[in-house]
Amino acid sequence: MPVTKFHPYHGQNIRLLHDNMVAYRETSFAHALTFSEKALKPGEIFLVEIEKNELGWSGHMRIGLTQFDPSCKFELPQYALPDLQNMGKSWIFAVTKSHNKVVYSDAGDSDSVDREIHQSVLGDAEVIHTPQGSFSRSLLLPLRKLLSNNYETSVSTSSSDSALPTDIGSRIGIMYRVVGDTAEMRFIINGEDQGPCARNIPHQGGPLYAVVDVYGTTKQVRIIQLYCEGESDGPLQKEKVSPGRKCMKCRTENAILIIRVNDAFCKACFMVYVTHKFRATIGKSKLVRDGEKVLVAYSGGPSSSCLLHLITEGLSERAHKKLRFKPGIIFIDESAVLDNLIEDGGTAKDRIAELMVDVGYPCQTRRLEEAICLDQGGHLSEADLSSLTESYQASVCTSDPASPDDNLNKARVEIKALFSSIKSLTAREDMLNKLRQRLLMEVAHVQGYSKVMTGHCGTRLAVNLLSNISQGRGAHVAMDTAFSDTRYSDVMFVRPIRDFSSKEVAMYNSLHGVESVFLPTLTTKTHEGSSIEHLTEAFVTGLQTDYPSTVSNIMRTGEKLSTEKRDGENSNCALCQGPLDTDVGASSALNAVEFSSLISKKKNGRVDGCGDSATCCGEGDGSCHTQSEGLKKDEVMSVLCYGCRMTTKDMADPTALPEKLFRQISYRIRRSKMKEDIQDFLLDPENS
Amino acid sequence: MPVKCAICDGSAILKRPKTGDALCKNCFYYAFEEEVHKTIIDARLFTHGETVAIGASGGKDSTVLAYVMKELNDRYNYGLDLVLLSVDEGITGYRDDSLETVKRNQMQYDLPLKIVSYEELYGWTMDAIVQQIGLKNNCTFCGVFRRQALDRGAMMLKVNKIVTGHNADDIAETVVMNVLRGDIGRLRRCTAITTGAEGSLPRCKPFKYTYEKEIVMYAYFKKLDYFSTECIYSPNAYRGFARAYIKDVEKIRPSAIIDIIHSGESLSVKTTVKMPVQGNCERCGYISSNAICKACVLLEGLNRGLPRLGIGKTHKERRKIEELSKEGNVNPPQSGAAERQPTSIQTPVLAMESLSLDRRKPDVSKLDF
Repeated sequence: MPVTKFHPYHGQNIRLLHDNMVAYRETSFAHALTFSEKALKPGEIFLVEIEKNELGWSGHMRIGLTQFDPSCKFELPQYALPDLQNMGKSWIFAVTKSHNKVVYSDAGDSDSVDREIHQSVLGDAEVIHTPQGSFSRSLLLPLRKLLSNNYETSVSTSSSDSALPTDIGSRIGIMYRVVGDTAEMRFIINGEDQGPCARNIPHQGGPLYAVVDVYGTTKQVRIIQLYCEGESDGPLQKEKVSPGRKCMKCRTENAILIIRVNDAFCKACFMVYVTHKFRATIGKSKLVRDGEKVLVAYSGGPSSSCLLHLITEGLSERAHKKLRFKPGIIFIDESAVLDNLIEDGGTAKDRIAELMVDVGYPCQTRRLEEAICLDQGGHLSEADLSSLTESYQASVCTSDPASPDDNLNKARVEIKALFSSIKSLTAREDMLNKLRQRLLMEVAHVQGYSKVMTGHCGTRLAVNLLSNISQGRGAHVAMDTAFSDTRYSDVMFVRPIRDFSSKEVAMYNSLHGVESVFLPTLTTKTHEGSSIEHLTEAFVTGLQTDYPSTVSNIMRTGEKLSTEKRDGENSNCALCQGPLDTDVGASSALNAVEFSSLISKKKNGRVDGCGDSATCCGEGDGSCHTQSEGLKKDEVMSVLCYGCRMTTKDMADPTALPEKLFRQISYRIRRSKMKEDIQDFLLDPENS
Repeated sequence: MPVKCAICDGSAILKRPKTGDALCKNCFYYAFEEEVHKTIIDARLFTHGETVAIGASGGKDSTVLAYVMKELNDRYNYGLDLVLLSVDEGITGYRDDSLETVKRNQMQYDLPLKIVSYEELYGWTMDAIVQQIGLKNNCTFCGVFRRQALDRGAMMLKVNKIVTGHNADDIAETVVMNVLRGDIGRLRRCTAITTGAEGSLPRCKPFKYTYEKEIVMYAYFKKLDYFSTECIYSPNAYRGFARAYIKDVEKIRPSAIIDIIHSGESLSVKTTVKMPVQGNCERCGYISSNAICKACVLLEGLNRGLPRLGIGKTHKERRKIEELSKEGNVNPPQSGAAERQPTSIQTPVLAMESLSLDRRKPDVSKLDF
């Protein structure tokens, strides 16, 4: 037997909950008619339990049978009694506190038949058999009676029980049985058959629906499933979700999921909605041109898998309006900086490589250490691409065929040393993000991709925005969360699924069977407060559960911010390429924090070994050892933005950056010194 | 082994929450005061000869602020006339106790004290307001009223500036909260060290870069007397989430508080984004983003027995006022100042007149900015 439900057509004050098994009258006391979804069969019991009452009204629930078909959407009267009754073809009675044994009398002389002894339709057995199936007698009883341990007696003496039929928990059933050519209707209240209350019902004239008027003090009733096992004892569903609803878009299909607060969508409409959002985000920006080479960053995670699937769908022949860019896929292997993934990392990475190849576009696996690998840039050609798709091990530093592994192994050692020298997980995570970004940019640049697409979804970007603010990167948050990130001169980063929530990503993946691969990150299996990003993620997602507008609010903040991109080589951070935000006035946080660290140190007479203040790194404790390296901490810091300064401060020695980064920084510093020297002779400073 | 002070080599007794340096008591005082002094000098907060009101609540921030302001004023010869200014919200069991602290401070520091109460300004104490509105949303009233009350008290005292004890943690928390709420107007304003344009008195926050923990530390070692009890009406507000987040981030990286302020300072708002234009309230003349300021709307609601009038979405509020105006009692905010009708209810305008002060417009010409 399928689940018994209320009919979706009901009085205007009724709201159906819990998969249409609960009827709740939202207001007033009238306009609360409900029907059974299907017509009752002879002998079938339609049982409801009173779940909520509302004091202040007089009268209680009414229940009965009608031959009006709710599917015809006939105009509903205000009340079951007397309105529906008067319309005919309906047999309805009010449930009262007592005297429910209303014995129907067609002779008009009620006294003569009043004491007629009727036989209970329920019998005496523990298991009650009806033509539709059998169920335990206990289901007809209020839960409270069952719990009171004396239900043996209460079955027979329910009239003496203190619980009233109109109380919360009371279970009231309606059924009819065929007697000759007609049917008689019976109430069953809390396990007791009240005897025939209507006779001569022409049941052959049309199907009989149960009708419940959630009237008066009765506020909410639930259908008790008698014929569907286990259903009534299952865990309660969340109140808001009512999956029996129709899709709010097409209004014909049954909704299968709820996005945002209460928007129910069917599968087809959800797909249209999501795909449209993806296409519109790309389309509105007018940035991705026909035939453009686009590098798609793929991590194996849900978001980038979703992005990859959307792209392949959009490029396929069957797509309505075909996307016209040329994708190439890249996976970055970050195992060099993760100590904890070695055992299982191999198979996961193999799976990622397989998934990439399956998509059928040019693909490659690169290693994170290439970001600092010295001779990496500048020499990759198209021909390398095909070999790269085969195996990620072949995809290394091809510029120097004699010793690619040497270079790479050296870089691997170097990058491990770099990460182990960074004290805090926050800074490690930040450094990893920056290096990954660099590598993507360089690969795109070398291979002639003008765009990089990343699978950042809205939830992730909101987390990034807040965690960037907490790391002093306020000047960059606009770039970090907008659709396009233009900090690199010839490669643009775009985020086509930035309007997706992580929930939508998960729904999309699950409906399409998109596979994603789990790879551990730096903060996997660490506690909530292990890094700022990790903490912010827990904070934002936690807040999102209670305040569903959190992510969109944060994104909205990001959209209103701007980053003016400044030209010139010295206006961007040497590490993250974001605009430098350190040129601030005297009254500023940067200035204040520098003063703080200065004032809590010795006023005069620096610690030995650091010489006078002009060459001291500012630490004043001789820890910098800068002279031998040729670059001082001050100088390194001067070309970094505030956020990157924070990250490098967490390094044991900020000047111990990988050689490649270090070279770039020294180059920057030399250039700026040169410029300083010739400053007086430059006619237009912009031309330098 | 005793840890040495990073400045004087004496034995250190504390670790600075802000920098992690071990310092002795006197060197900590020195560093703390110098930093506040530097903030004041760098931001050019004051000019010689000004009268400055210190917003004093009796809590830790304002108690330390009063003490440090007096110290620095004497030491560096700012040439300021300092006065204490307190607002009595009328919260029994909270504010009456903390005002006792302020009164003790007044005697200890020998500064004049002025107390303005919600009751005299608005005709309502917070206790009475809570009776009307309940424990939810009462902070909206208190916050809106306090902001104005402080200004009005300051105008009565004819001061040039108000300083408040907002510390770095407070500002970082406000930045995060405004990001969470998407409130770009406030996000831009909240990191400014001095706020208040024409029409209202400038307010500054000399503790903008001072950590809350250091303020407590300063008060603890100086044995400064302050009142530390949560407001009895303080609810589980949205701000609490931001506060908890700040505390957690600070644990991970102590500099994060200043980092967040730096982020707030370096945010630049798109030129295309429409910012709320600040004007003056038609009724009381106080600075306001809307035609009628929030305080007047809230007060109107209270006086009419519709305490929820100013709570919730703006459009709903406007609709409610429009409905009321149809009954012919209230001016809709859009209608402009010209057709102001007299109302039988005591509006802020009347309340102000009863205090024989011009509430419409502060007499800016007399003040020396």
